Amino acid sequence: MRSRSWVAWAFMAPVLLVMAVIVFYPLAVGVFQTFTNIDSTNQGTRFKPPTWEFVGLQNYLDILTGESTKFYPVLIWTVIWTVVNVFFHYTLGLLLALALNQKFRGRTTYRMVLLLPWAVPAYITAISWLFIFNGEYGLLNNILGVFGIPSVAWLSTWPWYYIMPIIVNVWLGIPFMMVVLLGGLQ
Amino acid sequence: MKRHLRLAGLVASVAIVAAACSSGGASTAPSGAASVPPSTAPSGGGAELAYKGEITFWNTQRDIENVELQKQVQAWQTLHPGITVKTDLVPFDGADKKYTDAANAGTAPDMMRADIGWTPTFADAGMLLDLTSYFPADFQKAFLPAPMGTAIYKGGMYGVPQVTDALGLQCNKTLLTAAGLTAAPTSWDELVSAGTKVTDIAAKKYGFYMNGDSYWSQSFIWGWGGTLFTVNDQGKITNIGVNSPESVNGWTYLKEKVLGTVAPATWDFKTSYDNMNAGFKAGTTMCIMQGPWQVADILKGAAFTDPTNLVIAPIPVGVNGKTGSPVGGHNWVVSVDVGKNADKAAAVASFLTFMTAPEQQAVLAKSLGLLPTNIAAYAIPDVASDPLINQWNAVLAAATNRSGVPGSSGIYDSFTKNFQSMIIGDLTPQAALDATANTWQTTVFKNQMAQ
Repeated sequence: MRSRSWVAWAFMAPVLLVMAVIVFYPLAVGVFQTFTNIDSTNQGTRFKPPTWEFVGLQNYLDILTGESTKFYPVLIWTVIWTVVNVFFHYTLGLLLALALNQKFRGRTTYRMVLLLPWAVPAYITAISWLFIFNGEYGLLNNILGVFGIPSVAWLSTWPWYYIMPIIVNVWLGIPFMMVVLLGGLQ
Repeated sequence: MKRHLRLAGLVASVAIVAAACSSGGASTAPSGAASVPPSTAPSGGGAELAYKGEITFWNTQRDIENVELQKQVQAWQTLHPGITVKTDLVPFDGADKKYTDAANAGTAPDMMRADIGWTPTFADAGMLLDLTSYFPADFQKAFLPAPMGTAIYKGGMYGVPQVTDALGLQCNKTLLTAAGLTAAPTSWDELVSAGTKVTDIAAKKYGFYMNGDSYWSQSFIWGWGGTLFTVNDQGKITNIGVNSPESVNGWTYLKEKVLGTVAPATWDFKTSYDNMNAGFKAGTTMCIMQGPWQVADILKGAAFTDPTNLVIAPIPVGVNGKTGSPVGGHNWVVSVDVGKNADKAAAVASFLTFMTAPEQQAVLAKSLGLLPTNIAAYAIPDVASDPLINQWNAVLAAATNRSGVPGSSGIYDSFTKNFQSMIIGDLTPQAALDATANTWQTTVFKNQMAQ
């Protein structure tokens, strides 16, 4: 047992060295800098000497108690976003996986089409949905206009600017969940 | 990578052609290689320069603009055989970070096309050469005061203005006539009262369309006598005036009198810039605030197949004849390291004098619609006869400087967020401007407030 462990360490050494330089050292420096007031103007360049100083826990206190940094609203929204998205990804993905688990005509076509959101590059997805939700000339508003419903600025009005991104993200994430769960069912 | 190889190949072949074309030794007469008329500007063509070698330049222009600029670069090179100006095209987004990193590493290019918002930041960091001593004493007077002011920092001249722009009021002449106006409205009151005649918000016909970016809202602050902030000679901020009573009055006017009457009360901020242009081009919006950079695109619109249908005027006045439009633009800046080589600095000064001479700026105005910064350029026949450029000249005369202080381009994040909150009704104008002033004081200008 003993004689084998140094071989393991020998193999890991190069990787650890590289990670130490690329990951651990910058991380340590980053943590150190959170206790200072360093920024781009006082960090010291070849033109100006550094003038930053230690401020202890001041940065942490500013974030956790300061109004202007809006830490808590953003944290709350992140939690809501994660919970809602994961919930819909899983339930709708499972529903679709169960449906596709049955044999029926056109099953392969459905599978291909349902994979589309995941396959399309994110950049194209963003532009397309932006076009659909455009408050002035967008597709959604045009369709609603046919039924006499007035236009809404979807991405600039509460609560829609919270709801629309969730809809798009759920649309994006269902195929992945569906494929994974389908694999598990079969 | 590929683009740099292509560019290097292009510059190499141009250098070879220029060297072959120029007559072997002392003569500096242009041999007709370029399509630019020989410069009669002072010290642009004549004097023999001691420096021989390469000068590097980072250009943030788009490809089509650079093509025209290179014609003038080649003309200057023909006048000064032995000196090559090597241009690297750098994308505008992130170019300031790239330049800062290069300057700190000692690999900055000799010249750079810097946005006017970056110039004070670079100068404050010590990266730029003070050009005052390299040009004649009255050099600065040849330029329009607002663009020239953006290149002055703590009394030194750290850039030479290359191109300028400002927001103007652009209107559709057909709709103006329908609203009963013979020319573009001169005051916001006039625009609002006439605009209601052509406005039908449910049918998406607007007398005016506002952009959801705080950069556009500045005219409503300056037009009511407000300011953003005041800077002293040391580059320190003595007063933040964005939440003064005058500024609040301006935004209140926008919210209560303009929005909901001639413009939509709230709209899609994410795409409002594109929607504003689209509606104007389609002929359903009477007036918008927009800059010269968009004119080429606007003239492609259905409403402007006849270009005389586009009217450009200064931003309307608010109260007491006050108006203001944010000035944008770019400066030629020179790396501080160039100052260590007197010959090279003289060569750079000669190049900049040539490139900012009236003749050269007039050529770019005609081919690209770029507004000259050299006052004499506006008198050159090609420019003087262009009706659109003449209209922009009137806009520039009424334009206001964006205060040049290091880091001032960082004011717009919080400014825009609060502006949008005000529009959708989350904040009153007073609260929105107070929040903005607070963020500027505590975060953006934390280290620059005068004590």
